[in-house]
Amino acid sequence: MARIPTVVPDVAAMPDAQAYVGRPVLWATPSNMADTTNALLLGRHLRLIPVTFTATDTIPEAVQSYTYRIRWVSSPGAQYVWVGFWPLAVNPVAGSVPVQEVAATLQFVTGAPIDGPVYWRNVPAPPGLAGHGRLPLSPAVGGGAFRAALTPFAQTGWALPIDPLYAGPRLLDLGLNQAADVEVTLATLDVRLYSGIVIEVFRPEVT
Amino acid sequence: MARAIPALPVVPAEPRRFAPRLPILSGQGTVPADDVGHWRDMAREVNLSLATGNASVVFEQWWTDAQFHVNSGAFVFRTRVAIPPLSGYHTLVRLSVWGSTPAAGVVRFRGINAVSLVDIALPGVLAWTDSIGPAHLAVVFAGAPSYEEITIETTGSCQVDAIKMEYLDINTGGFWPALDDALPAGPVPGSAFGANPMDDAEVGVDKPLSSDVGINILNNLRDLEARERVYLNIAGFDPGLIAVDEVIGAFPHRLTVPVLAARQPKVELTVAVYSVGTGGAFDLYVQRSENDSFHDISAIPPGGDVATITIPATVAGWDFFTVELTGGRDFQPCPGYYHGLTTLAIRPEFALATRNVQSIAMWSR
Repeated sequence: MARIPTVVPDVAAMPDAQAYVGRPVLWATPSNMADTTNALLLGRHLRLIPVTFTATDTIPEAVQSYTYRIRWVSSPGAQYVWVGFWPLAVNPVAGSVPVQEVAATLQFVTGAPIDGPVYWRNVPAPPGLAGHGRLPLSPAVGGGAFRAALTPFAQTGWALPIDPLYAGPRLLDLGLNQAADVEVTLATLDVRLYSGIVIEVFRPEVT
Repeated sequence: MARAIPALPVVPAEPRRFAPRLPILSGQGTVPADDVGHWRDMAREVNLSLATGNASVVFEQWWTDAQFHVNSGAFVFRTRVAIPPLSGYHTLVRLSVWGSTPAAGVVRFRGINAVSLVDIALPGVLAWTDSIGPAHLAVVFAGAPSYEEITIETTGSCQVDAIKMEYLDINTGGFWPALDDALPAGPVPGSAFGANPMDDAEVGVDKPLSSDVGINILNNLRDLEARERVYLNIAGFDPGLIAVDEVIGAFPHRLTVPVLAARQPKVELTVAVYSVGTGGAFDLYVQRSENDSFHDISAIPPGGDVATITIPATVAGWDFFTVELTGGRDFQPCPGYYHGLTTLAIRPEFALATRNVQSIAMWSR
């Protein structure tokens, strides 16, 4: 199968003269070109979808139970979906342990599921519940904007969903749904999200 | 002549099939044993990149907490956003609204530089409502103005939670992605490198390799590499937008982005800021990578990789700056073609009261 080179070749590094009419064709020329083509289509052009959920800090910082959506049309080369977000989940008061959760699901915009959900929680999930990851918590100190400045970061990591028993956050699997109108929903329980990002992933080493 | 956009799935070009022992001929390599150079595969893959490369979301903003639930009896201005125009075939953005209306709510989008307008009537039940092609919003073509400004107005009762803007893949005949489609013959509009989509016949089996195909592929790849990519886009919303609002206020707005490996030249971000300069010049700090001041952004050492941009005392206008995107400490190992993840963040200088930035966008070329 095709590969994406570790070091993305620079288009400008390939001199025009190497591809001129009448030149003897070196095998390295088309080989370089194939590398570059793949890097552009499958590496650089995998889509990057930044989303801002909260644009202002004049609103209360109360945590939310809400479903955020990051929507896009998947690119021709995408295989997996990486998700990262900046949450505000305030450390619960001692003695009470309410579940704070973010559940990420990949689906079509029509609502038909594709993969997931994977979870981040502040408490361990019951055994057998796949996709548990630790939700990073903010300290219950400060107020307003100060607390918002301390938002941590959570992400799926780059692990592949190879073993169905694997219980950590992982890449969401796009399957054969390239060039499709899809979205990642981030359903929260007592967590506010400030921003999120989706990065499409191509994993040549496993295809 | 069909400049074919190949149907999905695409088999990417395989560099090892160009090994020296193999005859270098044109042709299509759909048969594994047919190791004859695969020029046609590569030509089609490049066409696919021209049609789809960098089509992506250029703006998505959510206004939770019912911030953007508004009523008016006529169209009223609500907020604005800047997006980069793309070279190539992209001159339209699809608009999507996640919202509903109890009574005749309409969201109006205006492309200021392109002088275009699209209305989206909201449904009674919360859902995505999209502009329908080909009546997407026209935006300026890459070239003349270096950005497109889109303003958002509403009338009626609008309960808007999210607005999204996206350049779609080029799908001229409506066949793609299930069937081959075609790009128009001729140079790619706006290409700085004279790029041309390639016809299958140019790389047919009877063609010698050196028939200008190679140089054309190079030019096409250079054109693709030069396209824009949006890294961050925030549009604040403040009913009325009067005097000094605190959109993009005290706390940093952050986003994590990947940095590509070995990119030359370095990725440069264009930072577009819309501000209302009621208080004279003021500074914005742009954090370019994760560093010791992770929880705060400070221009004071050891603040690290922070760029300070100074907003002049412009009254209600866009200002543009350039900041180099540098690789930061990795959050996690990333696939080989990424150098790692880095944090982009932006916030105004704390010391000044003129926190009156309304919209910010960052994009690369």
